[in-house]
Amino acid sequence: MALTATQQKIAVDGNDKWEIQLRKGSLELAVLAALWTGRLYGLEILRRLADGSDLIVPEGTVYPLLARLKDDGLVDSEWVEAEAGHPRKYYTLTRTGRRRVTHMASYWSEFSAKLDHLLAPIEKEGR
Amino acid sequence: MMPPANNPQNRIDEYLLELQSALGGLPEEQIIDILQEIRTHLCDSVTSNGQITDASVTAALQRMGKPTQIAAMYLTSSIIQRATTTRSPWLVLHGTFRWAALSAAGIVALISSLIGYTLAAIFTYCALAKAFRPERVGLWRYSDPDLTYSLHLGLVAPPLGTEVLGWYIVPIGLVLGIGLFLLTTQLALWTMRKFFRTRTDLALSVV
Repeated sequence: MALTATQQKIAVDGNDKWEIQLRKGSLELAVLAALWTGRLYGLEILRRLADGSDLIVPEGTVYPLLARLKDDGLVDSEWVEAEAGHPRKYYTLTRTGRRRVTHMASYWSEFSAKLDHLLAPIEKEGR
Repeated sequence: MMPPANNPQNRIDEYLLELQSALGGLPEEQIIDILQEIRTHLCDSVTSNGQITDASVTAALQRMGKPTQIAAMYLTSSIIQRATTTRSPWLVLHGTFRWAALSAAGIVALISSLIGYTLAAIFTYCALAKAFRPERVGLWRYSDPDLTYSLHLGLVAPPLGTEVLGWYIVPIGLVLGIGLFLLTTQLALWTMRKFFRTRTDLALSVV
């Protein structure tokens, strides 16, 4: 049965909304995970996100998010003078931040493994 | 000589000015910090391809997003953070007020907070006023068959009826007033942290 244009639009919008929710939900984890190996400044974090995941965000929004993570005690920041150009604000994970991201990562793996199991038959037939 | 209006540095400055005015209300120190960080980002971002062109500046500013959106995220976080640390009812109401401007849930939170604080103020007032006008403050039971209770206070002459609480109104009023005050603050902060922040982050952080 053919869908009307409106129905199709709703189906696509619904999909978009779901994807937005999913991306949003993983953004905090992605930012914290990017900091796991050491201190980074904002633009470096964004590059990690772009390289390592499909998370494309308006660049400016990562800064308020970092500010909030700092307020929550998950990251710390310090200004470092650059040899040339402007000083940069570097972020590091705090001890609480490391604990939190460890917890988030293990939860994520467990959750996605179970979900994969559930999705397996769909992937098989969908192709 | 005036630099051309579309000079890259000028366009970055314009963007930062817009951001600065949208951030109004935050502590001065924090605004300077934010502007410095965003300026560094933009300067890095426009020069990353080796040269600065009009198009590269436009692209960098577009990737950054609207200044008003960035500012809204900062303000939300900051209001909730300050309300949480100070527990000042003024900041709590300020936060719920902003939330109310965005959603129905926020309106409910604002009205509940207002009612909570008003009742807390009335109970506390009853307890304190008893010390100054003992004959006019109390909980009266009318000698009515329906047994209507009335919490009567203020400058109106006491009605006919039996006063039931006596001086107990002082501790009871204080406990209720302070308890309700703390409860309202806790509840408002909890709902703001749980629903308001997630909501605004969600609306703005991912496209």
